[in-house]
Amino acid sequence: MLGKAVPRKEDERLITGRGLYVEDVQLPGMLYASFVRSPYARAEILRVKKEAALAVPGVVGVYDGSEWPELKARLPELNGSVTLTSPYIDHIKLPDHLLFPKRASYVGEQVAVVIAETPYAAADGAAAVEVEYEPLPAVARWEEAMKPGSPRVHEGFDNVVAHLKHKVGDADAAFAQAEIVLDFRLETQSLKSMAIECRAVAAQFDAATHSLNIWSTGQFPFMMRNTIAGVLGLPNDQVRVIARDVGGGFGLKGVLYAEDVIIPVLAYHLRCPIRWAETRNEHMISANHSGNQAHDVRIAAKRDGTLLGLELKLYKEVGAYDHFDMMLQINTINHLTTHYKVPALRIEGWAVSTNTPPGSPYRGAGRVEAVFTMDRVLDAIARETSLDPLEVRKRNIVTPADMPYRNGQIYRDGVPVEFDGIDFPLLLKKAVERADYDGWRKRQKELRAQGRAIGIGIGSYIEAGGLGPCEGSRVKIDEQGRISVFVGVNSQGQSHETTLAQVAAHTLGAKFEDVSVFGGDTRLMDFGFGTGASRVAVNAGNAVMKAAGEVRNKVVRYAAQVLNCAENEIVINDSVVSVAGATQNFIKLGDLAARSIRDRRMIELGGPGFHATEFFYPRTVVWGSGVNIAVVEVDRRTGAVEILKYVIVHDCGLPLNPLVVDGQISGGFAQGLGIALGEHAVFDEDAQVLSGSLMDYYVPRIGDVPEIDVEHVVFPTKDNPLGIKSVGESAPNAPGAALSAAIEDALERKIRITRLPVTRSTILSALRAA
Amino acid sequence: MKLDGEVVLPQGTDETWKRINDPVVLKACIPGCEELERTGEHSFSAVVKVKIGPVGAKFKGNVELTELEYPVSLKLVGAGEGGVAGFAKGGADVKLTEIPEGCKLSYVAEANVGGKIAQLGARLLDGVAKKLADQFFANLAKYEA
Repeated sequence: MLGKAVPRKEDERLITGRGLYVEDVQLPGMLYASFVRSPYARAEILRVKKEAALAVPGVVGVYDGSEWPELKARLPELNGSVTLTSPYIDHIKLPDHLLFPKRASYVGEQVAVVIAETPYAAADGAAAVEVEYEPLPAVARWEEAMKPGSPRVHEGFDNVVAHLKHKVGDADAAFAQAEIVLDFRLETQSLKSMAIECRAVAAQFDAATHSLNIWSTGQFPFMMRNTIAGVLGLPNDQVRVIARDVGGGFGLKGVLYAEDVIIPVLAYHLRCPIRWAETRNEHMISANHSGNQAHDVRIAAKRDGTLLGLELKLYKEVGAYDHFDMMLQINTINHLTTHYKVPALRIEGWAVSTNTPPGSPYRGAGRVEAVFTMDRVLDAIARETSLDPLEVRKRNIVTPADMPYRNGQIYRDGVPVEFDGIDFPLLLKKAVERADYDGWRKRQKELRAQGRAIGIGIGSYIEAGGLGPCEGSRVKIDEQGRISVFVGVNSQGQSHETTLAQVAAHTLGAKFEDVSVFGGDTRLMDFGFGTGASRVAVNAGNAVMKAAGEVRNKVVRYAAQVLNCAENEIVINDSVVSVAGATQNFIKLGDLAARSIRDRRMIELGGPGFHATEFFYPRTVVWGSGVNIAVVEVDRRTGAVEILKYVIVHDCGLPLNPLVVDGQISGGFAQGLGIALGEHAVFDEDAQVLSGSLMDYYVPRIGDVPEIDVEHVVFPTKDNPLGIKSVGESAPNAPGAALSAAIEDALERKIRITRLPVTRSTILSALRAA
Repeated sequence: MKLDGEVVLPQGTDETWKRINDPVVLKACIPGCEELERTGEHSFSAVVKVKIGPVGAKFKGNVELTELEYPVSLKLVGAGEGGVAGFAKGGADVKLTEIPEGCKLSYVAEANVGGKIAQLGARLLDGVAKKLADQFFANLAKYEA
């Protein structure tokens, strides 16, 4: 069962439109919310005039934070999967993030909320609220924000909110020895994940238990539960957060937003169920973005293409509120050297606030920036030395002989980075063969003679996943023989119901069809650390294996007594327990469970029934990796890029389900393609949002996404019992680098690509300038 | 957004000057203008209906005429709020020159927009502004009391 390409259990429900999303939650007497949002990037909120809104038929109330003390709460300083153990950061100081700010600090920030009997009345009410603002100068670009005289994003706080430093080896010596020194700036754009389902929250007060039921689209239900319980002064168990079917997250939903707290607080005080669902326009303006990032890179290399050292100055825009300290920057740094040896590294980084929405990870979370930098560095060396980019890679690659290999980095969980059992040259070799690299180099020449612009590019990534601290699972067998697997994490489309069922079925010897997986409900488990950082398969997967293993132990011990045999003679297969060699002596798992309920022998085995709860604590992260090779043709007249061939060769350890891995790779690739060629959250110089719709923010349409050629290579890890690594954030990382290199190559390196996205107009204007 | 242009009006500078200082004329000539009232010697309040791409809104705002040098130049400064549609603020330098055909009016305008107009209409703004300006001057040229 493990490693089999079984179809997804969740597909029937989701494909036939029977999923239950927050907007499907419909309760008697439900009210609806619509937010009034600041049109200014920075403004004093002088007065909120509610009268006209209150006169709109159907409007129940208008709230601006002055009504109840809980509406004056602040959001937790750090979010999601942030760990505080990274030794790189030496300075961090952040302002309070209030549910209703006194001063708006980005366009789209919530100023008031209208509650009404219908969503339409709420929207009309919100349009009728008159807010008096005193606009203040805003700062839209991190470059401006770093200047001493620039406006402050928050009064009393420096725009540079955090700083870090790290070094590996002796950079001065590397530059002293260097035969080639190159320096340039690389820039990567701010992104906004375009989940099909926007953000939403619904909340219902249950008077019988004095508790709140909350439906959420978030990736971190327990964090949400604990925060809301804290704000309302309720025990954690009197707040229940359900986040079952969620239509995509990609990191943007991995934070707690003001709306996530405001709606439950209002439902609690008004004693009415309330629902809010973000419109696409609200998503475009007020949901978090990933922030622009710039790298000033200085390279020390030898004439033979060997990299001696790298200096990196890293500037990261973190928006108006930074809830991730320097997690994204540290991710970039931790993933920076990918498959290659960089003996000396000197890094300094700044986190810079601007009057734009708060910063959040976007699938990949700093790794796109790392890959883009490392591959651009290798391509720059190739250009300088006239070596083939492939040759430069071969000369710098970490080989199996170097394993276990430490690159001198400390991961953000505080553990030194170490690669073991990974064959990077094999990944590269397979990608080169699969892409027919040498064949394309020949064809490139021939086609160039016909005036066609063909180019080849390589991108290599590593992906740390499975970040702790831990996840738990409760597994039980009921009297019908049905197996329930409870987990503390929720899915935004990651196929937990299938892959975790495979793990449980495999471990227990049960039928896959007998297993149901339940997650995304804080009533099911006591702890859960969220779906993000490619951590569920490793953490929850191994927890399920441990819990199912514990249940199996109980089954074996009890069955040996019931079937009158030795424990080591028990065989469990297809949900049937039997004695090895004795065809007549068997009992179904469900019957055995039923029998155990009233059996005093179960005193020894933890009480009636078969159940167990176990937690898995990873030692540190596990490292997946891969190589992308792109072959493109560029149309010099229109700047259009056509992908002729795209190869991804990757390792994620043993795949739990190759179909699911394929899905992660193809979906991730589509996002990587968007990042490479068009996705961009754009603000003007007053920090007004210019990418306010899907006409302005490019997301690849299905017709834009080519077929890709994927090869799974398996380097199992000994770091966890399942031998798995992560895959969720693999595929978006390298298309930016591979496609940039391919486009540059197609245009015979007449243009230099130093920033993402590479749009048609970028290509055309670079060609005109060249 | 920046916009400049030049139009020839059949009326002379004196008459043109009078017209662009007269709320009744302005109300009749500004496309979409629903209200226009004098609030001071050289200031007006106005309600104007504008549609920019998918965003349509009523803008309520104030306009002030400053640096008046009769009858050759003036400066126009204004700001308007369109509720959920956002806001606009800006100004224009207007110059009048007497010519045989009447009056040559040239202007250089600059405006900033925010909110939904920026999010959804920024791409269309230049075109819409040019169209509205052309329409205003066409109306002004043919206005008859």
